Amino acid sequence: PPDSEQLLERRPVETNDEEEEISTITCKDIETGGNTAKSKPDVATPEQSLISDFQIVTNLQGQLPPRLPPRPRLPPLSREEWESYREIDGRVSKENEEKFRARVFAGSIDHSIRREVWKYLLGYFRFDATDIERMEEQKAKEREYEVMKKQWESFLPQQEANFARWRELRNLVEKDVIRTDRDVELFHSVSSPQLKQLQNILKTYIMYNMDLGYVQGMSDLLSVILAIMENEVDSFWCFVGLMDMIHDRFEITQEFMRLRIKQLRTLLKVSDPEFYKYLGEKDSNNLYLSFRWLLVDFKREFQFSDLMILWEVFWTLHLSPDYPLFFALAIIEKERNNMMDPKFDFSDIIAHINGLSKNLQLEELLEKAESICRQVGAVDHLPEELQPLVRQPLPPPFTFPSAK
Amino acid sequence: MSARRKVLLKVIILGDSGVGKTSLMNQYVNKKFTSQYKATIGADFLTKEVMVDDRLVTMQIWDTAGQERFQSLGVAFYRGADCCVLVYDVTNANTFKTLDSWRDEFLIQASPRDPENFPFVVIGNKIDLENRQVPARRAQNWCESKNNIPYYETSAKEAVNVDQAFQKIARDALAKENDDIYKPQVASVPDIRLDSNTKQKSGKCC
Repeated sequence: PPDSEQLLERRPVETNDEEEEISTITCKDIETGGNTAKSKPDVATPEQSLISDFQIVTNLQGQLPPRLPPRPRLPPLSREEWESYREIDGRVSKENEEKFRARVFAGSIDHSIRREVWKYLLGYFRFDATDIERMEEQKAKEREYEVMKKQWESFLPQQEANFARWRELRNLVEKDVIRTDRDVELFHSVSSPQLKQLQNILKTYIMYNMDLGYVQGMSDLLSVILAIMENEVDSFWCFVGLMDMIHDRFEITQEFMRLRIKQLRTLLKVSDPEFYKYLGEKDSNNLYLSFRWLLVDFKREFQFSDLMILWEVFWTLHLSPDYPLFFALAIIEKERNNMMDPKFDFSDIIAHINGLSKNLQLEELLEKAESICRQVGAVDHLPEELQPLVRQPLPPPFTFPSAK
Repeated sequence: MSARRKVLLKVIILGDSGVGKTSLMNQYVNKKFTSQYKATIGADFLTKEVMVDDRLVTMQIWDTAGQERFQSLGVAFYRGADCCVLVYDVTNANTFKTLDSWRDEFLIQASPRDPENFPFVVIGNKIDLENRQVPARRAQNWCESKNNIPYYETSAKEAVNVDQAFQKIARDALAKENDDIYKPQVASVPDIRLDSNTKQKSGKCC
């Protein structure tokens, strides 16, 4: 069935057909415990689809466990706590790494240790390396960066003239960097060294991964990393680590972005069928309104200080490998009543969503997202499509070790 | 003819990344230019009320991301467009070469009823810059070859010719919109059928 979605996706005028077909598939999944639908679904008449839609909603509604009250966020991970996870030689055991991730998920990281801790979260530093090993690895990474940077820096004019792919990507980088976060002081001046560093890193990333190259949105992600690292080489390798986690969403086919949006649709259909139906009446249930959120992890919706907290939660991969979907659901749930205005049409809904930028309360949404994720994770027979989205079994909420 | 219904004109701006789509839209609607625009991700729109001859119309101008791979998702926003603006950067020949594929892709995805006569307007932007690469004549020739698309050269930065271009866009979109009203609507309401057999039979006819 994944193909049918994609085929239909190319016919934007008939989104409703597509919707109904998905409902039929999902419905079958649920009825049989979630692993059929290998064969192409029967073509449903409009009447049948309506019934299916109804069934899928009631079926899952029946299975949805009660929502637990939101858990207040913890204070950020302190330096003392971080040090307590490390052995004498600097290693972090597998067990402690797991505790660390749960802890960061629950409270994010104190700003004073972000520069160090992000290197672990983003996979630049290995948790299981000793301090000595890590220093050696870091030196090697510095040399590798210099090699790759020299490669594009030393192109002769004739080489560049004969290298269309490079020119195209280089131009994209240059065009995007000068419009990346210029409203943030660090990147404000045209002559700011940080703008130059953004360029250098992204151009070097092209040499590191020519297949992916540079895709719009990357500069948005990198600027936050550079703001923390204040160092070109470290930022590059942290960015590489981030891309290792999320490169799928930048691929040329955009299949992964389609899949994520489809998963978000199913999540919404299950968690808030009334609002999902309303969006359908407004031609908005394709949820393309979430594209910006999901491509760059809500970068355009929050200030840097909030983004750092939010992204740390995402990067822990603690409850879900794609936690941004649950965070998106939290925003939708928070805003649904404001959008259920009878006067609203398709464009009003987009305008409302885009207008949320810099007007969202992060803490409240993080708490809500966790509640939703735990609620969905507790469903007995989750549709196959949603199964990869929650860790099974879900780890229990983090609690501080009780004082002796 | 004074008590006419309120008219909403939907306009889509397309073109390569960095040609100035967002800047043009903002210059026209808000009379502002800033070098602090961000690359557009997803889609956004602005509205503006304008007089076209003696009619007050609302223009809803949609701005989309320019990088090619994001277009397959952007097409959801093409639906119901009354005019499509194709923008290129006069200092960058590649952005001119891709106009063909922007136009074709729009026609395929939006599938307007009368693609031959669907209103497009082409804008060559950034004429305030010195290193011009695409001669006006070349752009005009291309526009003529595509059923005489109106062509404007603008500077979104210095507000040159932007109003004129959008006046034309509004006029052509309105003409298209008026035209549509008098054409019979394509049947959009599916027949009500009581059982699926009927549908299968009718599907096999001819």
